[in-house]
Amino acid sequence: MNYKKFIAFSISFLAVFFGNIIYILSCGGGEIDPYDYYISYFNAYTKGQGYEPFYFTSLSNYYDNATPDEATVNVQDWRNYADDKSVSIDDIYRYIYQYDREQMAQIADCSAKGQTCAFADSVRSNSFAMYLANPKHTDAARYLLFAKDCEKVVYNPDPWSDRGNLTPEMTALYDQGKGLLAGVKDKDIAQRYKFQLLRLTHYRKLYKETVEAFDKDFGKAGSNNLIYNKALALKAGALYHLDDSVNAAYLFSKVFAAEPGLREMAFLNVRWTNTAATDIFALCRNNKEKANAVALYSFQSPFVDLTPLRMAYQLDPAAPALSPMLTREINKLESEFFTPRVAKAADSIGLDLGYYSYMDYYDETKGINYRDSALALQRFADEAVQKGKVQDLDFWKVSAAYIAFIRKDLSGAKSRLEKYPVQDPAIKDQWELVNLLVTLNEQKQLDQAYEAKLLGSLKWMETKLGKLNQDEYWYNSDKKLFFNKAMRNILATIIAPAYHKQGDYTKEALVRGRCDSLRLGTSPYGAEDMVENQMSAEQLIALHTFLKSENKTAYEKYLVSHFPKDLNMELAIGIAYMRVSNFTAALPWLKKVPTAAQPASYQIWVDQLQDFGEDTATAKHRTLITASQFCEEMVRLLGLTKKKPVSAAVYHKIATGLFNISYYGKTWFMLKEFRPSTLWYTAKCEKDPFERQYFGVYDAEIFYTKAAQASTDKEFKARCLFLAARCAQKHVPDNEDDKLYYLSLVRNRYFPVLASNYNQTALYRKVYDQCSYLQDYVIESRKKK
Amino acid sequence: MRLFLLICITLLFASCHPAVERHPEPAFYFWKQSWTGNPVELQYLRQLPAQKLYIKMFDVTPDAVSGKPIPVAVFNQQVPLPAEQPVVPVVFIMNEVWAQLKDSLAMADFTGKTTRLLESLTKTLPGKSISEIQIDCDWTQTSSSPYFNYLTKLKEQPFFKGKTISATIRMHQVKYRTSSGTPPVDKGLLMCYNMGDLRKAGDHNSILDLETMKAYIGSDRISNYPLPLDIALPLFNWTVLFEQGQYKGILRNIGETELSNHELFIPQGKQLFVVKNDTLINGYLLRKGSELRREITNVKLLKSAANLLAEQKQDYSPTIIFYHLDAATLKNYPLHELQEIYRLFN
Repeated sequence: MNYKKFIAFSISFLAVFFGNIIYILSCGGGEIDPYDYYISYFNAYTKGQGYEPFYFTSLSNYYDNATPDEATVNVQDWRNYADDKSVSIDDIYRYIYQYDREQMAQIADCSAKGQTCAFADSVRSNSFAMYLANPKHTDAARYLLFAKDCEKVVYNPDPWSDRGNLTPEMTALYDQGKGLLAGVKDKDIAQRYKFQLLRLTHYRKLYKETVEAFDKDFGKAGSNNLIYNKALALKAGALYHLDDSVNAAYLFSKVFAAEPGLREMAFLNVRWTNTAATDIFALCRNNKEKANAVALYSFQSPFVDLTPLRMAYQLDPAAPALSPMLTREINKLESEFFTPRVAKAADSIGLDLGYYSYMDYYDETKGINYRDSALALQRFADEAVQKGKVQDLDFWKVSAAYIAFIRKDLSGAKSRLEKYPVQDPAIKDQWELVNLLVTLNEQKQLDQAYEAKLLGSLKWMETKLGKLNQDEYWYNSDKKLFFNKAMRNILATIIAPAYHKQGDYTKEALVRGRCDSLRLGTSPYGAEDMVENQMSAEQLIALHTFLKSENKTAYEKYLVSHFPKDLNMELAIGIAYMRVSNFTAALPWLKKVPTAAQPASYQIWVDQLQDFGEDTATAKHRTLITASQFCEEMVRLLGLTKKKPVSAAVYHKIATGLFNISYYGKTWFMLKEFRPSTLWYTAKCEKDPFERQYFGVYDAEIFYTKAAQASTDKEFKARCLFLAARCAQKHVPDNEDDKLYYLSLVRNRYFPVLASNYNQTALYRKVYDQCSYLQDYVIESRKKK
Repeated sequence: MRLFLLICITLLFASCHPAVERHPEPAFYFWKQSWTGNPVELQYLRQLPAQKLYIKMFDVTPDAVSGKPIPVAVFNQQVPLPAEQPVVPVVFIMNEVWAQLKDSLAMADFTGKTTRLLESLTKTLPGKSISEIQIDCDWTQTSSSPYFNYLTKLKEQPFFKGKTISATIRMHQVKYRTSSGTPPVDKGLLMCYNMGDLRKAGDHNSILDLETMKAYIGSDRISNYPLPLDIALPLFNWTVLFEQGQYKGILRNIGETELSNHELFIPQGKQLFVVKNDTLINGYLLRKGSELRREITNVKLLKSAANLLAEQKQDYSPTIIFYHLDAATLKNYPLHELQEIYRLFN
């Protein structure tokens, strides 16, 4: 490779490289939304409250915060403690989590002195602050002040601040807390003090003492409240540091079972213990605890695996974790089995939905495992429903029906739905959704009769949609947008492909329009893209006529009401005709489009010896040429070719116009909105009349050749032949063998005549320096001689 | 003829490079989070004697929730460090951090934060003043651009004025210098350990292996490196656990003593041990059939490595830093042996 070629290569490489980056950035940074990367119709939030962190996504450590969270439980505990109807939950929250130390100190002081104090309005209006200011509640007020003091040594709100050695401060607080505890009679407040002391012990790395203090202060307490469980977690952590990992894991599993708000913490700590569920079985007091342990460990795995679910069920069929475990398995099957299958079906009708899985592509041979897994899950769910021991029986019934659906067993899904009517409203919604999926998939043809029914279903779904604010469109969990995503999936991956398959592009476009209005993306293209880039002129005219017609069904009116209003159909039709070089047909449509709305060019008639530069105004080319003016001129020029003799200039101008609106031309934007730098001519382009010309520029080559033949000027002939050579180079099929590909480029059919008959022309001398393929051809020919 | 002889003699002398007289300085890394004033560590520090103590002040890692860089494992002195001990603060930055620092604002914020925390933490360090600061990051070709940009920005911070900035250089970054790039700092620290694939099962030593080292440094990659290079040598051992050929982790408190128990472990090959039965040992649950690989760096191996490294001399007296000052492992490395090792770089 000589240096010129190297530079040319480098430039094209950079173009490809940066082209990619732009492409990725334009697609949202190339990041995959962890809440929306496979097709799902199964709402994890239906059942499984408290296990939200472990709802399935393989792209994030945790899915959502558990409910109720720690603060909610803590606030409720304080409300129960106060046992005073005038104290509001919100005021307790504000006091504990938002008040500063000074405010708390003032209240504690006032409460201790038993005086009437002058409080700020904000404090006076806080029912909990006023409750604490009462001298009867001095212990509680003083405790909360102490807790506030402890907060600053156990929590660092700014990780970038230097905290230094906090041990002396923690020791001082510990001593102070001991003293305060001694004067407290209320057992709830005493327990909270003991928890603070235990935490200060643990954070000073006094692990043996932590275990001893827990056993002394909490060991006998039968209570199972938040404070107890937080203390138990401290003991578990201390045991871990004392190398008793199995006991530590067991105690963390107990915390996991008892307190949703502490589940994420307990789960993470169990991972540190390097144990398996069965390792802690010996410590479990009953099968309920063992089932909880199995569930906890199973939440670590993103892979399809029925074993833990089956094991947990055998241990405790009423275990609360079974429902979220089942949902996880269903979601995993959706991700790895169902989505690739839907994508493959769409692929077969020419729609690339853009989903992918760990398996890369759905492969029948690899898919067998998932089919077996899905069948095993089906049998398991059916059996659980039959025995009726699970906690959320209705949920399991709908799950069994949905598993049948994702297994493509539509009659099995239908019979289960019929057999299992459900009452719970949340589960009823899931039931309706599965029912809709089954009936939709049963349809061989989407006809008017079914469309009427479908309208009812779509309107029902609309009542379930979450509100999507203007500034958000992704990174939303299914808590808020499950039905939005389900509706998007139904429209984009079932209904639109169905119309596409039956050749009804008008309805396909309308459905895509409805999908676009959900603002969650329409795969693989939305209505606007379909109109402006995908549809043929005939299809667009049909859509245009339909949109204007008065005679529409209710279903059609519904779809049209969501169709983008600002699409310029006349322009789209004109451009679609231009794509297949039908300039005569394009012209009347384009003439209806205001000049300012048409794509326009300065250099559309300037031939290109190289693929560089932009179509901008220059000193020589100051006149703007609109798409309709271009078509008008093309129609005139093509008309001239019918009367012989035809001048070389006419042929040359036609060829230049055709080349310039191709992928390589400066005026590429006349036919396409976007030119990715990664596309090129491939053999596939031969099948599509537009792509054949856009990437293969065959017609431009023919007209340049005719121009060369018609001319008598040697310089002009040389120019046209070189331009024809450039066109010929564009449709050299790609070859995996770089050498062969390079040889086909060097052996351009126009090079021999250029090199032998025109090597004395100024044009030849100019392009010889620019075109390394021509140089290599000449060098190769000389060697042969 | 006389002229010819004169030319020959001149050429002969010109081709001889004068031997560089070097005065390597010994030093230690301190990579633990808390300085507790352990007597063994103090003894090694004083008697080596360590001209510098490289202390890791904090790690920077992406936050699990926000993805933003946060400092973790911040160094603390439970008792004061020896007075007058020159200290080089080190910051370890995980390579994943750079992906989050896409724009110049984020980079400026990060530079400011690391500088401020470093400045605050160094106030309590002994020694007259901090003359060197080291940044440790296993950068890759992709992350080199933001990382190098960060290093350049650091230099512009007032706190770094007049201070030497050094950066750690991994073996692969020396071998693939063109693609890795050279960090824009005053000097480098060549990490002569962790050169193999820790996670790959099999009977090999991922900490230090002479053949691997030769392949990395070649015959002149150190001497030709465009930055003066200090050298770090390992003083640690560990045991690596594999279950069914899969890497599971490093077991820090299972060593020769535990592995010599043939009731529990069957030795295999040079440094492998197979677990006989499910066993709970020192807080680890080991399953039957799992493999443990004991990786050690003994004095003999260290000397061979030092000799190999010393063959390539830069015109610079390197600091030889032993990684790291930890009483638990120092017993395997007598002081006089460490003194002999750093002098091999003379």
